[in-house]
Amino acid sequence: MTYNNPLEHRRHHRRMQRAAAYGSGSGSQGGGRGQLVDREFAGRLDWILLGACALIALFGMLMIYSSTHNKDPKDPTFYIVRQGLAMVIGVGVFSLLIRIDYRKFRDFSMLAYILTVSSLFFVLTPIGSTSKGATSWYELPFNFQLQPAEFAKFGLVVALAGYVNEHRGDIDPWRLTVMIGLALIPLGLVQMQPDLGTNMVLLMIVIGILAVGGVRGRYLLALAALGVTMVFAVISVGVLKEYQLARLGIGASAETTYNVDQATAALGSGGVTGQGYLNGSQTRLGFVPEQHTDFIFTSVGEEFGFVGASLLLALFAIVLWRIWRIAQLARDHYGTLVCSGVLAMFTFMIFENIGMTLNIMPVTGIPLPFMSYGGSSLITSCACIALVNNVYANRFN
Amino acid sequence: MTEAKSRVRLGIIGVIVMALFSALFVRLWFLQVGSSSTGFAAQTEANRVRILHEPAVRGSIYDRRGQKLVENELVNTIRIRRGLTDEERKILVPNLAKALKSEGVTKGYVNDRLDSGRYGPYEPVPIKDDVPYKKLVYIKERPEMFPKVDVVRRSVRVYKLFEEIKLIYPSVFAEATPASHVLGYVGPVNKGEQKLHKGEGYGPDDVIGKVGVEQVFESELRGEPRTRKLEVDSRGRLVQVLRDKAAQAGNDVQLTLDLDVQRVAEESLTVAMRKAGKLKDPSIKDRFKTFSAKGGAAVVMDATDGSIVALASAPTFDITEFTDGIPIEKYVALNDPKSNFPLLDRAIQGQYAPGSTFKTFTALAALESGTTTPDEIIQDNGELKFGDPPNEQTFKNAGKERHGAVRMESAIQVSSDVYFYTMGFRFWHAYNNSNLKKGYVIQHVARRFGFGRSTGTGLPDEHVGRVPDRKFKADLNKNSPNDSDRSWLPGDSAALAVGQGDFLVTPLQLATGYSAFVNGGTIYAPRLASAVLTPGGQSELRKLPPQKIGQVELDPAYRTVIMEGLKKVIIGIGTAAEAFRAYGGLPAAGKTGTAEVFGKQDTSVFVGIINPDATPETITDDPMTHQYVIVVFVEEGGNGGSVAAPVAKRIMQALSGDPNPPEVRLIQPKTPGGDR
Repeated sequence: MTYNNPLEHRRHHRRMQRAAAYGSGSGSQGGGRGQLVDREFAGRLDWILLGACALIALFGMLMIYSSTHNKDPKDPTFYIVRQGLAMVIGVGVFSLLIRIDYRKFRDFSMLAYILTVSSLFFVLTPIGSTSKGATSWYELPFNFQLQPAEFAKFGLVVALAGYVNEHRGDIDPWRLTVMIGLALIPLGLVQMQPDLGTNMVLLMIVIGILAVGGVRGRYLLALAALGVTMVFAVISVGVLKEYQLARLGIGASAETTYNVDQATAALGSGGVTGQGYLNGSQTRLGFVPEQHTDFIFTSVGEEFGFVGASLLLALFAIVLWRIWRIAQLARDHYGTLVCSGVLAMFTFMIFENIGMTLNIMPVTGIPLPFMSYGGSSLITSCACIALVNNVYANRFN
Repeated sequence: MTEAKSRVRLGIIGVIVMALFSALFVRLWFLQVGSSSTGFAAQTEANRVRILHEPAVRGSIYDRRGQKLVENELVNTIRIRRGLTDEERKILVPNLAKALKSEGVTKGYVNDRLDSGRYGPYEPVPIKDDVPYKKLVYIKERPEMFPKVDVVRRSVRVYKLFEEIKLIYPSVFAEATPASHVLGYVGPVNKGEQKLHKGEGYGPDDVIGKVGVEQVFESELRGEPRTRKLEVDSRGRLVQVLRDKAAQAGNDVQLTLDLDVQRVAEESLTVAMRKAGKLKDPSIKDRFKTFSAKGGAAVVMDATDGSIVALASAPTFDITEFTDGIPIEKYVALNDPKSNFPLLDRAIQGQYAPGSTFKTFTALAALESGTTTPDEIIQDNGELKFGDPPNEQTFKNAGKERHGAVRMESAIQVSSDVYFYTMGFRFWHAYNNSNLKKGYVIQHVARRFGFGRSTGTGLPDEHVGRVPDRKFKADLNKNSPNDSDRSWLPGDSAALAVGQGDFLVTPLQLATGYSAFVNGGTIYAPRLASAVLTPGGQSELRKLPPQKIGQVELDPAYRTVIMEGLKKVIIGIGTAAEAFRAYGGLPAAGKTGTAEVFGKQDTSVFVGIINPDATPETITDDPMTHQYVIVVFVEEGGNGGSVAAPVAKRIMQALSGDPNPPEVRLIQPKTPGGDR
């Protein structure tokens, strides 16, 4: 065995010790292959992480039903059926990705990058369709849509982690420039939709991976400054529509003020224990706009109160803690980088999304992972968790 | 790149994540636990709940004989439902304007109504009342031309009996209705009233009693509106009906008013005011002029229980004009000073010096305080000097008429000013000797009989008059350079003794005070209604008993002396004897008054009394056995005996059972201010 990484070397020893304690040989991981239930493989998964994600997703289903069952009285389950379907697909994607050793992704990071960029490119062509002022969808049969910008999050994590891993230890200004250049292509394409919210998430992924990738502090600062400049440039160039600006807290629109007021009223009226499931009037009667998607946290706050909302926060904290921990446990640098990217992505999404409903962050269209209605987002989240769990499962290999 | 660096960076990221989560948690705590949830609850409630009201049928109003004065009738109204699309509106507005052209509906009118903020977002917009049946059918049959148009029946105030009276008595009631002031009218509720009646469900399209009985008995007459509490979603669509309470028709009200007496009172006032224009004013300052008689009031009160039998104010107005919102130009005309403020209810808002009609109370004060005895004889030489030269002042009888030797009874009969000035000076001497009990005895008696304060009738905007004393003068003239303006002078006591000076009363106050004197000392709050009836008036829901608000000391012996004088006023050499010639009604008494008003002609005043000698044993349920007080004021009408007394006489004839007494006959005054 050769170790490229001193970290891996040390962990190898720890793994050997634990393997001895389990009483199983180092090559036994292949023993259960082909079986439907692979006990040995299942034992290597991070069930705390999976359990927390599953609970959040089920909580999400409850809240989506609560905030949508009155939309069309003839078809109260329209939204949860679709979300359930997305969940099934998400579980399928998870099962698929968990069985492919994550290091294979490292080898195909260039392919991931090309796929991401082309999907973002073609959505801007007449193949893509426009909704709510943004050209960001692929229309599929049976009234399903794909949102490539969501999958781009996963693609960027895989691709960037691969590139940084390849050049670890010698990220000089030139390499950094190349990396940023490579990152700017998908960011630019997303901006053409336009979707500033997703772009901010992508930017956080870049910063997270580069930070843990060992880029020198002053470069990171420069990068952060560049990011801020870009956001401002985008705003001042006038690519954004007025309502999008207002959402970011620049200028006030009646719509944004209304959204935030309604969200605050919903949360505030929840109190400690909430109004009870299906009983929150703001949720039930649709007073909070986009409540099944971006503002889903408000229905938790209204119907389950502070108790339910903090339970949900705790579940998210568990998820982030496990990702962070797996980043440390990863047997190689690539695994650490992948986890860091996912960690940065989820942290930003959760903080921005919940923060905006609590009126401490500007309003932007960022979904709450595992909770918000939307198949592309859910499937991407599943894929990211599969990736992290893959790192965990292979931490001793 | 070292492993340590990566670990440190990951550690930093962990700390950042924890910090961000702490921020979320703290903010969540603050929002859901730390701050009061009531404000948020109110906001969510306001979001989801809409309360709609539909007015109930308003109650009717009857007079004391059960004649229906005011009732409600359903009229056909055209309304437009909410949710009109732009296309529908383009079709509807011109068609409606065309169809209802002769009703005065134009495109601009319809558009104004549709865009007006007056009507709630869930309530239909009323366009036109009382649309002819043929047009209703035309509109109903063409929904494609008139999308979202409803024809509903709406309940409005009607006055059938008054329409008849207008036809029978056109000389007086062509452009007026009887009892307009006391009944009042209803009108669209305004912002201030909505605030005042918050929580009672008044919508912008509702009506509310504005003045008079309509306002006083608003809560009885209105009934319970149909109240629907709806839950709506964010798009304003109805989700469910949370509550639907059926409307309950308003109760009927039985007034104490007698329409015949009321009508006669108004006729008499109006006719007397017209005729006063042909009387010559004999006073020195206005010689060769006739009386302008710009306004007047009459009150008939049942002294037995305080019931108001008639409450008239002239000039008056036509109450039926207000049924569906009075046209603005008519309202402006009613408020024009040239028309002498017909909307002013002079019976409760007019403040006048009572003149000699107040001598009844001066006499009582003089007897109670021991200032005089019934039999003391005072020499009336037509004038009275007070003080020593050079500050000597002379107080004269009207026209310097000499009445010779008078005692209390005859002093009242002929209205001797010298007699009552003498009493006034005696009061002043007591005042000057710091005997305030005796010095202010007139003021005490006046206040005891209800002057200077509200009568408690409940009618809105009642004025209270004033009873002057030194403190009043000091307050009134506090900026005067002259010290004497702030002192209580002999002339003040003398003027008060004859109902002049700064003393002011409303006609209703004078009626209340006299009623207490007549009935032996019981002060009643004037009562407008005797019972609340069930909707439709079939049965009595609740009696409204007489409201006794006080019992004043009144020595029956003193009352008898004074009453004997009052009975002689209308006979023999009495000041109203000529006016009461051929009276022929129930036993009567009275007192004339001629009040001087600075810069104007004298106010003609008369207080009449029916059944002055009735006792509790003779008073039965029969209204003819009751005691009544009749108060008549005519502004700039001259002598009490020549204008007010003939008006009162005619009202007293009506009270005696003659619904159409002979026409008012005024008496040309011979001497200026022939009485006081």
